[in-house]
Amino acid sequence: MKYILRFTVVAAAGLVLAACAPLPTHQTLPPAPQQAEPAPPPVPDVVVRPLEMPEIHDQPLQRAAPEVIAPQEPTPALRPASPAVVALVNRARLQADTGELDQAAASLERAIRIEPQNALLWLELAQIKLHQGNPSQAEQMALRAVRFATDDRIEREAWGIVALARQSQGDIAGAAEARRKAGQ
Amino acid sequence: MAPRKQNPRKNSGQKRDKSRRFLRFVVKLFIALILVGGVFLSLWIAKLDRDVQQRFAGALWALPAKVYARALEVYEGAPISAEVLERELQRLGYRQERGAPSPGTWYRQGREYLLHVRSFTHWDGREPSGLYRIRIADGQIERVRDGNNHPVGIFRLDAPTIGSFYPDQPEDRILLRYEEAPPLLIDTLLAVEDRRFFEHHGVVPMAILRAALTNLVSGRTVQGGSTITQQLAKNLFLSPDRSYRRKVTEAIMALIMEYRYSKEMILEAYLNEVYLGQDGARAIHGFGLASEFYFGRPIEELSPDQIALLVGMVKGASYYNPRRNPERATLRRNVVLSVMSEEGLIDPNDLGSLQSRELGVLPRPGKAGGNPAFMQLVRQQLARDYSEDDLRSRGLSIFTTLDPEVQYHLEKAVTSTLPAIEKQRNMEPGTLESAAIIVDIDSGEIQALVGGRNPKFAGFNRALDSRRQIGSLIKPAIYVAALSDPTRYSLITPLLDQEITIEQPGSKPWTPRNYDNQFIGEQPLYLALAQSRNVPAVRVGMDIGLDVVSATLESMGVPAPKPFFPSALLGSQELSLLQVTQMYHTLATEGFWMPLRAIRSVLDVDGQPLQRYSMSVQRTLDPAAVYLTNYALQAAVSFGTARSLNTYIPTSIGVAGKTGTTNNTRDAWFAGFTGNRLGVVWVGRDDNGETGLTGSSGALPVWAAAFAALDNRPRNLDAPQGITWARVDIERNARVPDYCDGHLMPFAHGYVPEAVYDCRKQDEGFRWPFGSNEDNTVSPEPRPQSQPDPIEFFRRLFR
Repeated sequence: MKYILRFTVVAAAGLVLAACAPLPTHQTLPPAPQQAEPAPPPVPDVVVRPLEMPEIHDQPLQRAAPEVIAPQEPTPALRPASPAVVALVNRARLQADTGELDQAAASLERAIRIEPQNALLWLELAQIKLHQGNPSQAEQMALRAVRFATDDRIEREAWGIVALARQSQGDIAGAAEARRKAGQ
Repeated sequence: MAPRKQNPRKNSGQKRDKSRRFLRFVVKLFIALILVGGVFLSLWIAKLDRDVQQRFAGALWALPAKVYARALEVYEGAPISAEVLERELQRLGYRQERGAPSPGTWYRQGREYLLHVRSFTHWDGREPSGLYRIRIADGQIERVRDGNNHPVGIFRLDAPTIGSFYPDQPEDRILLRYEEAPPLLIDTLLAVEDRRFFEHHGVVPMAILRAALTNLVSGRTVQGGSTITQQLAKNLFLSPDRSYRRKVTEAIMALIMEYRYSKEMILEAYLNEVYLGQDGARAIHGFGLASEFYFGRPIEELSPDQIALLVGMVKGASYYNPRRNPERATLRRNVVLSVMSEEGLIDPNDLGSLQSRELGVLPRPGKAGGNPAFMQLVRQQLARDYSEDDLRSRGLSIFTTLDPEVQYHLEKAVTSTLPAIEKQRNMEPGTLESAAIIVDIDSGEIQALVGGRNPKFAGFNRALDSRRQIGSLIKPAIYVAALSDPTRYSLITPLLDQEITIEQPGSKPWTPRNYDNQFIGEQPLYLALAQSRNVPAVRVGMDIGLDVVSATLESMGVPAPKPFFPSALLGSQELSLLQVTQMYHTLATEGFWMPLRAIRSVLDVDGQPLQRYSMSVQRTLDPAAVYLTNYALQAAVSFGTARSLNTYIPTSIGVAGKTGTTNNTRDAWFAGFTGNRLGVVWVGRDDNGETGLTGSSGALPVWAAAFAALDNRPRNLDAPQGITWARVDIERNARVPDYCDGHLMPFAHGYVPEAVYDCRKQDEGFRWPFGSNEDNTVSPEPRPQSQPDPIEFFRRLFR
């Protein structure tokens, strides 16, 4: 069984997708009450701090097609990939390529335990679930990917899988909505 | 009956005829008897044959399922300090040896560790043994290299054993395959017990005769003369008495076994059947388990002197017990070592040094089942797919989610905090009880579970079997339901904290009270939750509808009470600690319900995958509404009912939490989560008596003690889709321009307050966005200027 990657956008770009730069985010502590509480410890109104996002990486994709994508050196501006996650994703892809889908899912779950907020890992797991004929879990995993997407491209990929998964569950309206969000 | 020759008669022919007839009769009788005897004998042998074949047909023994904790993953950036690593190596029975020359050894050189990892069959395949160099700095793995100094992405240690499910006849063994048995063990065993094993046919008549002669001379049974096959027949099928009949049976069975099965199979059976000791009620069978039991290591890692000890013990496991009779055991070991030297199994030059070695057995019998409460949970979850008999007999390997490090810290937190509270409050020592669970948020894996204040005691499991009122822990369910309707509720919606009386059909009107017995008037929603005000929660619950609250509870993964009375809004419902954990887990994941798991996978006795319990996810709540609720729960820790937590956990972690206290302080609860883990703690008394403890004085300290020792990731995830930030004046429930005092707060997308309050134009006061005076100083959705957020921008663009 061949495992066909659907990261079309990502793959077409032949990306060695290294980490995105840390994203600024809203990290605010809730405002303390003015007087209601007798003596609340002073809490700064707004604390803003850069978020350390999980690193998102990809390897040169091992594709079913024979074409070889030459591994590219990450540009210096991009942080190197986390070797553990890269190793596990590669392992998962090898397992998937030999039809060991359950093992591949297990490897991806190992990777997710290391970088739970890496949207690409959830995306990849969603793909496996699709191939395993489990569209409902594929949809849910892809929704996790949507949640953790730090990049518009990934988010659209995720919605694309949500659309596929909903389609095969017979959820036509839901699929249409997801396709719209995927920009398809 | 013996045949007897007839004397020939010399008399008459008649007589001759008679005697001839008689002779013929006797001969016939004789043949018949032989035939009958032969039939009986063959029937008996056939029966023995059947017994043998039956025993060998299936699994030879009932093999208890072995339960493993998670395997430690080692990779760059893993939160593993030197202390954590060394504790893990100790759990696994690795020993420190210069250069880490063989599997199961390690060595430390400064900050660098040399680890010689054992090969181990995980669910998804075998991890080969190998040498790794890892460097640890600042409590984490800084670098991972292999033996040749090449970078390594990730590797796993073997999984620590945490227990077994024993059969009723408590024999235990670790199955040792013939091919996997160390050659030295086999050679030594044969040299000592049965030199001609590979030549004979199960019985050696000369040896039996010699033994019989010796026994006759000495007048008692001193020598066995049994082959390994005979010993196996005796162990597998026969009672231990020493009669001649049994001896014959044993010999016949030995012949049958040799006829039916290969030498290797017989030897493998012997290696696993031989009795080598006793651990309380548990009988230690086979060299595999004996190695773990006496040396805490797999048999492949034993040194020649250790193998000699085990082989020597075959002669009498209790007589030569190395723990109870070390002198005898040493003498016996040295005899075996001499045999090994004579046979050329070891270098004779080493004999002296090997014979002078210590026995090297562990002082205490192996690792005892130290996690009874977690094992109960494992059993519960396995019961859906496996019968009790499967668990006790099929030799399954069960890989669980238990993280021994997290468990260690949680146990320590419970056992150290309860006595401290009792002492501080002059309570009778030993009266408080507790239960606690810690879960990894993103995988839904239960990492630690404590069922009572004595975590090693396998008794009543308060985490699973005890149901307690949840009190204020229900409030987030009410508020998440309310915030799911952004047309009516936001974090700063003013709620009324004022007396309310609720008419209930069929019972007395109900007037809920606050914990402090006061009413404080109007209050924004997030403060009402952070300070756990009862009356506003009841008002909100009544407003949105009891059916909505009930449905929300179900969405969070717990059964709602039926019927749902208004009093349930203050947590009159009774839930187990595990259920409460499931409920809060759905909050911690921002609305994704995942059945909490204690088991990852199951392998059969041959290491083949049987079943995997994969991660399963279901979005059941609106992520934006949960995000807002969690924001208020973070407020509870920042300055609300759980603010004492800030003494223990850095505020930068941004813990979200909720305290709970039930009527007259019978139950103290705390549920809280960081960026990576959720913990729920209950403290109370078994007799359901009053403790005088609140959630924050009773349960929170246990939570804090456990989490202070763990690696906590901050809760700093970017807000989900559907959240917009706005700078607001909370009291006025209005937006403010950036130059005014205000708070940046999250709102459901499209539902930021419409009113605008401009501090520079105080005369005009409120400004309405669609009113006459639009001067564009305030954008419809003000964003903090210091916070450019391109992602959010793109999100909105593509939504």
